[in-house]
Amino acid sequence: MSLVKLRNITKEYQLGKTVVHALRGVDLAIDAGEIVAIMGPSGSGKSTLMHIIGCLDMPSVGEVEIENMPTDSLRERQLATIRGRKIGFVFQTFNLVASLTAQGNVALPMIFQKIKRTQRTQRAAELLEKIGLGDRKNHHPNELSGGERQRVSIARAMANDPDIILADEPTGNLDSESGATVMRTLRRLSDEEGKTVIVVTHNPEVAAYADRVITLRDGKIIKEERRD
Amino acid sequence: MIKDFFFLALKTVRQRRLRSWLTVIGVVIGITAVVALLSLGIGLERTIIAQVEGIFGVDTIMIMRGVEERDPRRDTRRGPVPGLIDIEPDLVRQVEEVVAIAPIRSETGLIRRVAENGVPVSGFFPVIGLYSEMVTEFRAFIGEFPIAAGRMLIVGDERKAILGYAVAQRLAVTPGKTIEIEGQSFQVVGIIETYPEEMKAAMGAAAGLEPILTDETIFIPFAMMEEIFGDAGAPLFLAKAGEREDVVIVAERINTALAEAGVDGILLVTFEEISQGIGTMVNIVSSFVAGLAGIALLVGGVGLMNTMYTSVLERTREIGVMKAVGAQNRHILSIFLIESSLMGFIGGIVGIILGLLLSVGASLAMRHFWEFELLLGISAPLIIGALLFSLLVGAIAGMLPARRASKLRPVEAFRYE
Ligand SMILES: Nc1ncnc2c1ncn2[C@@H]1O[C@H](COP(=O)(O)OP(=O)(O)OP(=O)(O)O)[C@@H](O)[C@H]1O
Ligand SMILES: [Mg+2]
Repeated sequence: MSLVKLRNITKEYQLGKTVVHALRGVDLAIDAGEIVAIMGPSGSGKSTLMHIIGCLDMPSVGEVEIENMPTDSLRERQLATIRGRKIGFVFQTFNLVASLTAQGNVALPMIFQKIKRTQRTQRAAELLEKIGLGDRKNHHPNELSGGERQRVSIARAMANDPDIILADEPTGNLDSESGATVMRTLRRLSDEEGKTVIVVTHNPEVAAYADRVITLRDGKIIKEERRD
Repeated sequence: MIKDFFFLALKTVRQRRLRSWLTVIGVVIGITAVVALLSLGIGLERTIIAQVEGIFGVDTIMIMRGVEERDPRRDTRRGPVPGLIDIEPDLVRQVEEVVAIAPIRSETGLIRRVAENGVPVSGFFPVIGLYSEMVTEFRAFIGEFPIAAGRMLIVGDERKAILGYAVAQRLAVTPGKTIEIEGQSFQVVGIIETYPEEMKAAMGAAAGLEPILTDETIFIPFAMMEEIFGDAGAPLFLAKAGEREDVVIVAERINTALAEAGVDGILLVTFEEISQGIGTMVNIVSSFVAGLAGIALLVGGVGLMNTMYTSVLERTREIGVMKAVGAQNRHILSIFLIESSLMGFIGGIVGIILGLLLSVGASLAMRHFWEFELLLGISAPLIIGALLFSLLVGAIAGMLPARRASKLRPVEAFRYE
């Protein structure tokens, strides 16, 4: 059964008098435990699609179901809860909070789910340990390398043990070595913990970690290939 | 959760240390000014009350002619009216827990003296009837009688007088000489040194009467007043309550006793009432001045608001991230509100400390340069009030920026460069 279902997703932006069609009717079903890579030229709608899957944005037309729950009728608080509990985001630019330590950043999503302080710090420490940054937990983001920051943000994405991890060009700002480490980490999360990973990338080497590669162009899926 | 938001806000404030301090300074200036002025006001009130208390005594009750109850229909207010009260002092003295009673009566009399060379000098001077207990029991009220020559009036004196320094000079008399008061002969037995200025003013003001203690005042035994000026009684009686009973209760008892004796149209005023009146007056003035200082606080608040708006702009991306990891709008709202309240609060603490130091400094300076003993006006309500107020300023200043932050759409936040 599919974890994420998209039906006829259309997204339009009004820019003055012109209408930008970011997505033009996307149908997609993603199964639990899959790693899906989304590729395509710049401006083809990859980020827009990710935001819609991640409940950060609503489609103009079409339906989104997360774990068989339609999201269109949900209210702001409920969407926030879904983002917090079921989805973990990893961004190209890391987007760590500068005033918080690595551990503080990993613990941040748990604050909004009302998890107790002791439990938060413990889990954050464990997650950092798991991605090999146990000794850097009291460092602030500006004291970490790009690769390390991205691993911290993966740990943050894992904080509330979500089913889905959305990564928008997670290796875009990293050298190939660090990029490979990040992808191995995501692969392991999928293999060992059954996480569903959706990763946007321009890089075929990155896409090689995926079970399925979807190619977007002008807001439409033009190609879909499965590998084994 | 609020606690966690507090720590999040604290970390942000600490991270932008310089800007946070610059922002806080705006609040500090306002709170400092308000606290310093209010505390000086409170100090002034305490000083005046202490002075009045020194003259008057907390246990003193004034008995006058007057209107006791407000009656709006007749447009009358509680307050004194002119006229003598003709009562036996013993009537009041018998009331439980009244330890002393003394009438005060002052009139203006025509004074005449024929000098040794036969040339007469005359003039109008205030004449006070001095009751023996006035001297023994209400010493503070009437002041130290600094006798320069001769002696004080004593019980049993009849046609004897003591003269103020100035009037003695005008009439060129020394103890032992004779003067005429309203045509009747009195023997001068003593001359009083000049009174301290504040004593003269305070005495009259406290009683709500014309200043009666002057260097031209002539004192005669109280019993002689009726004989010389006609009419029995006095416009003002002072009663002193014992220590075992609240002065207001004793005043009530006196009122009842007088009413039972058929004396009405009486007004009883206690020290408490007078100090309340002074307190209200000083409060109005100092609140007004502090209100003006509040404008500085307003400016500080606007500065805080500006900083918060800037902060929301700068942290657009951070807000987007927090939403992406599960923050609800109200969580973002709380975080920003707490942040601005925190800065207001810190400004409040620093401002209160500086304000109090300033008022202590002012009080020391007054003692040093003007020899004026200004009491300190540091009070818990002032400190707590100022703290809450600074918190409120912070919260209000943060309201709109926090609202903007909370309404930010996460996707827009990520597109923001
Ligand atoms: N908020 C917006 N307002 C107007 N147009 C937008 C907005 N967001 C996206 N677009 C437009 O929608 C289209 C798709 O954008 P999107 O960011 O999804 O592309 P992308 O595939 O992620 O590109 P890239 O690889 O450069 O990140 C683009 O033409 C973009 O200009
Ligand atoms: Mg993109």
